[in-house]
Amino acid sequence: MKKIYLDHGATTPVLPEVFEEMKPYFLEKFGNASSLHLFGEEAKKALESSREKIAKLINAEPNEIYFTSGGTEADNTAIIGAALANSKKGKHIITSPIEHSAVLESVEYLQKNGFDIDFVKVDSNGRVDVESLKNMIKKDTILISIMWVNNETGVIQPIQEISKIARKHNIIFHSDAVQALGKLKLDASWVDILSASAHKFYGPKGVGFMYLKRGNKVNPTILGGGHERGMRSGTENVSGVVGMAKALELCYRDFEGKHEIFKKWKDKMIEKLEEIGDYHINGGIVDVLPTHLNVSFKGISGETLMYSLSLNGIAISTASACSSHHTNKTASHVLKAMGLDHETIIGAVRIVTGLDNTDDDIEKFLTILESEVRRLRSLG
Amino acid sequence: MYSNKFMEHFLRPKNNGKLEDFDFYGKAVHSVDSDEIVIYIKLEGKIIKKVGYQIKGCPRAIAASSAFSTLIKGKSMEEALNISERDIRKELEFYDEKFTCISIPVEAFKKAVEASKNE
Repeated sequence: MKKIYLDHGATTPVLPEVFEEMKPYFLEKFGNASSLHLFGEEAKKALESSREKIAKLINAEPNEIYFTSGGTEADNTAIIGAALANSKKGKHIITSPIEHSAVLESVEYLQKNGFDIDFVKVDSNGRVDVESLKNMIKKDTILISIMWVNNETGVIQPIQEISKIARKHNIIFHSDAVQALGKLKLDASWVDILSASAHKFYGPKGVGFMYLKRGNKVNPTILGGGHERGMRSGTENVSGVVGMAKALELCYRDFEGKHEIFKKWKDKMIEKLEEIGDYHINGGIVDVLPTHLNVSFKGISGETLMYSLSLNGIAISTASACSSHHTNKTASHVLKAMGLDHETIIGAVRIVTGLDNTDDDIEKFLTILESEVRRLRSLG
Repeated sequence: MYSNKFMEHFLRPKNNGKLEDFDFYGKAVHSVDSDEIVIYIKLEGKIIKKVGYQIKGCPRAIAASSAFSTLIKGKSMEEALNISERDIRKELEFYDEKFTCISIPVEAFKKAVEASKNE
């Protein structure tokens, strides 16, 4: 059975060219970038050229990029570090209820430690209500954190508008761009701090970065060694960083061409949904990544559809299950915040296409999707 | 995660469908997960001759409904009332107690039996 992977929002395969680029840094170029000898210099050179490459691709300066162990660490450092560094100015933070748990648990931690957190409203498509955000700003607001793209729905947030508001009020604006980078050509200079993770854009797991615009203050959260100009201690993951830079470069190569293919596949999927009937696209179709489709089929649990497709060799995901294996969470907090009814939330599945998919994959997926939806509906 | 027996019940649910000719029926909805089952019973004397059910729910609720239908078919009502969630778990070889949706066909059957007493 040929396996078809349609869960590129969870992770992506490392591209062969990325792997090739990384290989020497496991084998002959294994030096510690902090060492002063030739091995160290070689590693340091690779680290800095990767930093330059990434900075150029996101419209940043190399010294505004800090490598981390991934998106979660970048989010934690950005939010907790910015709050601690700016707490003398105020203790009020604005975020949204649809953020990733790396952001939500960071603000929860800050709340327990004396910070005041407000959650901005989102509309039924899960888009942040900019007017509501404006009204929440207080004299002591020091930080706004809104994700660039929602990981469950693929909905693109009004980052540029929020950026203007934050700037007007001299508030630090952080954006979790983990789901956006590589899938959108984004301009980091719109925000003050940005978090990213390599494995979401065909790089390796365990590496990411934080962009911190010059002039903004963030306290480090990982201490001991002063790496990354004192922002993030710990021996640098040189092979990972090299892979991350290469992966981003490849994502942006013929970006428009790739985008067109994703759009074509999404259009085909929507055509099929019309044939199947009784569905709801969560997040709508305007200002949504072409790679992402979050859909609920009436009368079918998302977990059941995901499992049925998995038995047919197809991987999609669901954010709602009876009981997750790691937590007691029962339903997607994102879809709940959008005000969707329980049946739609329980029925939601997320399909995310990627660079490794083919036209045949999409055809086969749609054929099996239709037959499984019809089979499962016939049970009830 | 799931046994072959579980997969068999999930992929090819036994006795699935609404019975056109039934003596009584019961419905249960899982309070948290919204799994929903309607179970139909047809008796021959005191023996359950036919079972049918309609199910909307998670993989465990579907497999559990199929397993339960096979466990009660051919039994007397008294015997069927003694079939528990534990028996279903044994049939499915699924023992993770975190998932309470396994019990949903048992609840529906009990409601069906109550309904029959009220008739």
